Amino acid sequence: MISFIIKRLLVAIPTLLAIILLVFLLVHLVPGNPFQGEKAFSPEVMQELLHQYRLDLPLWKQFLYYVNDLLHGNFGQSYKFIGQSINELIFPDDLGGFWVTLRLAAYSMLLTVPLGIILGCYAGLARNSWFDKVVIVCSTIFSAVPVIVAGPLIILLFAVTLNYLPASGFADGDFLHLVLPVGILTLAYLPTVLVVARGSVIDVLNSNFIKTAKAKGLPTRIIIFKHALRPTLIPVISLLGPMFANVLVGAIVTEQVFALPGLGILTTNAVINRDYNLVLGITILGSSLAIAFNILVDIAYFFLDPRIKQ
Amino acid sequence: MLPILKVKDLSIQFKKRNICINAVNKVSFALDEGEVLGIVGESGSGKSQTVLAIMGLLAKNALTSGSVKLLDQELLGLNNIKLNKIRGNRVSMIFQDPMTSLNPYLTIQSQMTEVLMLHKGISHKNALNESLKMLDLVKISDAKRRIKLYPHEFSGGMRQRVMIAMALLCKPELLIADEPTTALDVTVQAQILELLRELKNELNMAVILITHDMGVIANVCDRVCVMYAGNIMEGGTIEDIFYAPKHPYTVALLESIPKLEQDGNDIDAKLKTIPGEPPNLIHLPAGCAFQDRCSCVHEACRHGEIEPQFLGESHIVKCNLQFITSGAVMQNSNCHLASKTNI
Repeated sequence: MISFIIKRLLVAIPTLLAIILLVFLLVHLVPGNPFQGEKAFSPEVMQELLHQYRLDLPLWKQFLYYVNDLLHGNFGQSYKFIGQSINELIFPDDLGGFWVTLRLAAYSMLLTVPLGIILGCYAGLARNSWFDKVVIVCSTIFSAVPVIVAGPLIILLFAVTLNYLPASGFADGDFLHLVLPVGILTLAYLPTVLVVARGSVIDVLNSNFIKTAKAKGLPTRIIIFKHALRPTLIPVISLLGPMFANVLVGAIVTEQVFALPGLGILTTNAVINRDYNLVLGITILGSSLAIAFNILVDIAYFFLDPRIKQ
Repeated sequence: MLPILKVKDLSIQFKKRNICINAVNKVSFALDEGEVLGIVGESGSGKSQTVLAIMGLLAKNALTSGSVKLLDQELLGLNNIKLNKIRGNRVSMIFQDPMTSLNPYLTIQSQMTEVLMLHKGISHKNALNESLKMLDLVKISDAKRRIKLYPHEFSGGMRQRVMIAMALLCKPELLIADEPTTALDVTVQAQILELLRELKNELNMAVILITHDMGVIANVCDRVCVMYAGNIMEGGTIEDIFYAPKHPYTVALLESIPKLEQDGNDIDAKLKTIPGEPPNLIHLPAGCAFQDRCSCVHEACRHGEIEPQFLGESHIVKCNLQFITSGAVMQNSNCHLASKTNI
């Protein structure tokens, strides 16, 4: 068990390093530098700025300095928010930045996963019933409409026409302000979990060992909860790792729609302003979370499927 | 004395939209204590559906008629709660593929004890003891350690032994084995059949054995039903079927068993087969289901229902035999039964 986790962690290190290198190169491939803006600096000032931020060094040296900083838990300095470190921007002391995005993603994951599993399993158990058909049609619609389209429509309905909920803003994490963004993010990812859970239930119920369980005279309750549940969950669990990364990206888009002060606005500004370190910091944070989630999923497998233990 | 199982005029149809599949057509047989009944037939002949109907495990869109009696209790139309008291308890079933028939996520112990705790209402400790005894009985050595293992830690033959042990936990009156050896290699197959035979004698239960393999039937069974396209074409004792087969299908089936020695000088003799294909179960022809492939077919075989004929106490044939014996099909040069058979 422990050696299994250590092995997974060791594999994660080169993966993360490859991501850092790739993003570092991509960011620095963008023409120009962070200080080329509308107002032109004199060459001396520009030279001084580049020197101050080590941007005049060869790329490989910059990379080594950057990795060294990372190893000390330091994402470097922002080029645009003068005097602020990336750490402060991403993880501010007040509620903002990553904390907003994390809250949004976590809440919708907490809703999506159990809801998707329950609805999907129920639809699969009652296959071809009216419930199943309604669920499938709704899933198709919700997964087809992107957040950018669904967001304004939902704001129009709930905030403008019905006037039930605030249209946008964060208001220090007020519950009502989070209902719409969390709701829309949940609706966007619910179909994925639901459809996988439904298909999985149908597969498992058709499998030979369920036929055996029926032939043993077991009541439906035991067949479902003891014999069918675990194998049903495995495909759903394997979906969760990559899905968490998707939800994080979805949260960034949703923040834009609902004007939440999370990583979303930070990211777009960082890219437009060529704030190298901020782009890098956000990307590396997202990748690390995705990798961590995949490791968690692997560990969950370990507990769910006895065949992996050998 | 009542037979353990009495199936009378069992018919099974599957309805899907406007299509109706006639899977089983008026099948009747009975089974006494300690008796082994073999059911042979090609794929799709309704063997498995017949036994699934006995277990109450047919697909939801199945329509059944007729009667299936376990002693004096009618099983057809029983609800699931009542069936669950019988399944795994008084009637057990083992399946074709031991590799996938055990739950890979649960230990053998958990899968075995649950049966006893459910049907016999005994404690987990007693159930564990009973399960260990049963594993000993199916000759799994070191049962105490192995019962804690998962199915993937067993070989195919071992898994089938576990399946058998699991099916026999409650000492059922009837064991249904649906091609229990098809997925196993020949040596393991022989061991499993031998085991089934021993256990049958020890527990004095009735057994229904479904198989494609005539050799298996000859080895293990007391009586045989030969099924074709949902009908029992011929039924009788081993002697009846192997030494005095009457139905052209049974005869053809027996002739298509490969033989090591050749007939006469015919060194290049090919493996005998039955030409043609089984009929479409959605549009069964009127009359006999075997008419299109039968070498002794008569005009009368293409009309009406063929009534089963009794030839002696247990030997039953669903065929217009009178045309064969009277020589009425003699103009059909392919029919070699007419000259051979004397009734």
